[in-house]
This record gives sequence, structure tokens and C-alpha cells, in this order.
Amino acid sequence: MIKENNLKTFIQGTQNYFSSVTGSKPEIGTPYEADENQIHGDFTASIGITGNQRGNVFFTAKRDMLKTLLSQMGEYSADEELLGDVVGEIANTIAGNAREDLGSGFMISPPHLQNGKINLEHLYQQDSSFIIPIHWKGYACFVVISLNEIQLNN
Amino acid sequence: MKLLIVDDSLVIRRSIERMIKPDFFKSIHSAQNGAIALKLFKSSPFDIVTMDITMPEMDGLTCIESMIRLRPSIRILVITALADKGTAVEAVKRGAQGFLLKPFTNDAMSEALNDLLEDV
Repeated sequence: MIKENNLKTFIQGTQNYFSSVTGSKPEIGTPYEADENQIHGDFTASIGITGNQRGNVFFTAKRDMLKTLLSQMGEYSADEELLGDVVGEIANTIAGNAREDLGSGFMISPPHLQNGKINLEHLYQQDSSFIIPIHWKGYACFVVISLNEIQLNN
Repeated sequence: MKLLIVDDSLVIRRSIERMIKPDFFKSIHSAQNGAIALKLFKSSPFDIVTMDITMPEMDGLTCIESMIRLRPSIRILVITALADKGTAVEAVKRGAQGFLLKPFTNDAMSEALNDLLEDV
């Protein structure tokens, strides 16, 4: 069962991604349980989770943020293919890095790109879903952890 | 020397290409999954391969095993987001010589490749 400490794994993974790739640490907001709202990004990627847990890890962001991110990575181009690809790689890296704490039984699929919005109704099928808000260079983006065993301590 | 970059992410393939020193490699090729990489590997004498693990069609671990069977002297650097020790151990068991965790910096990439090149 994932407890609050394990949710921190995803937060640390997110911080580590932005710090390593861009040199600037993002601000992480307080994670909250998914409600009726939908989260809208221009690009969204999901990583399917199987093994000792079931569900998805999502990353979603707006086009402008992704263009800035690609530029920081040294990319001179920011076409649709690269914008979609980079959200997939971020989701993949955050989910994959979580195996350091969650172990090799936390099995991840290759990224799947989807329509920009994350439909939270679908997430209700899981035991619990948490939204991690991220602020980086004035842009907002989100990591959503939707797993069938995720649970906060308090 | 010839380098083959294997990763399903175009952003990562391009990042690796930018980070490596072109003087070391007379040619650089890339593939987005293990199946395509294996096809290229069979038709061209690569010296170094960078290999992702989680990919569609054929994953990196399966691809490493096949490449080692075909050419045991090949040097393979695994570059993956999978941060558990078990993945690193399994990659080495299958024949990889280096392991670099994503996200990686320019310095970490250079160091990992230099370590691999020392033995070539």
C-alpha cells in the first residue's frame, strides 16, 4: 500500500527531473485528491502501471511551458512531435524513478499520448488519485498519480 | 567508431546526439525500439550502443541479450528511468557494461561513455 512517504517519491522524482534537465528547481504545491474538475493541458501522457499496483501516472502541461522546457534542453525545434514526445518522457522518467522506492514490482508501460485533458471520472475507478501541482518558471503543470492502492497516512 | 542510440523518445535520442563528442564517432545511427535496433545491428558493425529499457515492440533487456549473442564484444550502455537495483543487475547479467539513470546531465553522460570507451 502506498502511504504518504511513497507519494513523496513522485514529488522528489518530479523535482529531480526539472532540476537535472533544466537546472531550475520547480515549486511543488500541496498534493490534493482528485475532485470533479478536469485537468487541462495541451499535451498529456499516461504511463500504465501493472504488477504490484494498478493504475496510471499522468503528466500534463501547456504548449508554452513545453516549448520553454525544450529550449532549455537545447532543442532548436518545438514541433508537435517533440512536444508530445517530451510529455511522454517526463511521465516515463517520473514513473520509472519511483521504482527506486517502490521496487521492480511497480511495472511501467511505454508512454501513451492522449487528448490534452485528464478525465477525472475515469480516475474514480481507482481507490484514490492524487494531483501534484507543479510551478516552473511561471508555468503550471500537473502530475497525477492514480493507483488502486495509493493512500495517505492522515 | 560507430554508435547506435536506442530509445523510444525522440527528445532523448536527440539529447544524446548533442551531448556526445563527434570526434569519437564516425557515424551515429538511432532506433526507436529494440526490434529496429536489432535489424540495424545485424547489418552494421556498431562499436557502442546506448540502450533504453522500456520500449514498445521489443524492450531493451531482450535486445541486449540478442546483440550479445550476435557479437559478444559489443559495448552497451543502458540509459533508463528504471531506478531499482534489480533492473541494473538484470541489464549487467544480460551483457550491458554501463548503466546511466534518467534524467542525466551532460557530465554524467560523458563520464558514462568515457568509462565504456576505456575498454574498447
